[in-house]
Amino acid sequence: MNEPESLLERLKRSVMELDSQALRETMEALITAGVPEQDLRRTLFQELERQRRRMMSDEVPLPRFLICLDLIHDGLDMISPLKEGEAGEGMRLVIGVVEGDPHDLGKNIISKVYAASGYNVRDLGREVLLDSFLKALEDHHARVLALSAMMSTTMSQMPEIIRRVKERFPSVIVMVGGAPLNADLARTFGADGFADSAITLLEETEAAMERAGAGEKW
Amino acid sequence: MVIVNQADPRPLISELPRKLAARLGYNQRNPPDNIIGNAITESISMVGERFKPRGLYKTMEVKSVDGNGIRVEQGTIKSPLLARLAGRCGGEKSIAFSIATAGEEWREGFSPGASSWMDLLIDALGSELAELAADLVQDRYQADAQSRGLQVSARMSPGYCDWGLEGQELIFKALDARKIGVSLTPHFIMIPAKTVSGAAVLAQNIAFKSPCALCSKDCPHRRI
Repeated sequence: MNEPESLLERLKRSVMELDSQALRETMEALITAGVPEQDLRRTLFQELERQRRRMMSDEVPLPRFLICLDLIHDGLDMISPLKEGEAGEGMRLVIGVVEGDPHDLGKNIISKVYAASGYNVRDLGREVLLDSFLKALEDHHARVLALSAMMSTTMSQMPEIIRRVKERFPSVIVMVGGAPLNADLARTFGADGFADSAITLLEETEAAMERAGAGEKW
Repeated sequence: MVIVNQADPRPLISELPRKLAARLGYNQRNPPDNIIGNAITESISMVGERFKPRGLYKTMEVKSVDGNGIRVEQGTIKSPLLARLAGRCGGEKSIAFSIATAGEEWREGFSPGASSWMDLLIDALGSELAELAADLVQDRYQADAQSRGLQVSARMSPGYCDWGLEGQELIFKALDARKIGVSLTPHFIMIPAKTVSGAAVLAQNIAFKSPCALCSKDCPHRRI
């Protein structure tokens, strides 16, 4: 019953049933059984993806998805994070809410979805100055910048931030999101992609990277 | 300027479980499961008597109405849609500016940042409490208007519909929000976060109560 395969199944079930105690106990059992961390990480990523797709088709409401996201984070916290250069290390990404904007609920969710989907995330928090974004992109060797703004007044800083980022890091993909934004505005601002929620986030980010890789205009 | 307080919040929060569930995406056909339902109940009981809704309002004469907005003593409400609504009102018109806040006291006992789900719940709860505070203030200026034989339009807030967030400046010029512990940042964000500001038209005859009646856009904030 405690074979690694059945433990992995139990891990999946604990996520689906939102059972935090079962998740912790199963993770401990899997670690004790010597199951490679990459297998644990892969199982947790897959479960999050499954729940995200269920939310996409309205089978799972947002609150349940968020509890699941929190559980997966707890699970990932029990194993060591991937180190820079290590095989399987995720795409490096910097995320933050623009200066003057204290609204970080949406950004925090997006940040967790990126992290729980395998991205290597540096979260700068809220009310982030332009120079802090530039420094973090450099220090973190980031490939993606995710910018959030929840008000029309703070959103207006995005074009200048994107211009300065592109000037210094032309290959960085800039994703934007937030209540006052839409895809047309994001394009006008010079962003490479726009995601309206955690549901479409991963597809939109991948699409932006594919467009950039193929040299296509958005 | 009239200041509104409610010492005992209990009568206000009787409908809160249903409203909070609705804000989180649930309804009668799709009710919250036990985990979510219990969390909603628990969060509301944690707020209890810590909820201290307060607000203020002031009515002021409308100087003129044109296609761009409604002019009052302190400036212009730059909302063509609200101006259209006011333009169709009969008799003398005035505007009620209001600010209402849930304050910060209700947050005591919650741990922000502990989990995404709890953060969503706390945020949704705060938004509902702010709406309750705004309704409390609205009830008062509505009762005041009715006693003078006036009708009142729906409340409209800067940042919604065609009224830019910059409209906050006019409301904060008209009302001394410090009296209820509210301030405005240079980006027009109100502190405490769970605060609602707005304007409503008062007149003897109001043909359309909501600006939505004069707008054909399919928008998530549509009220009719």
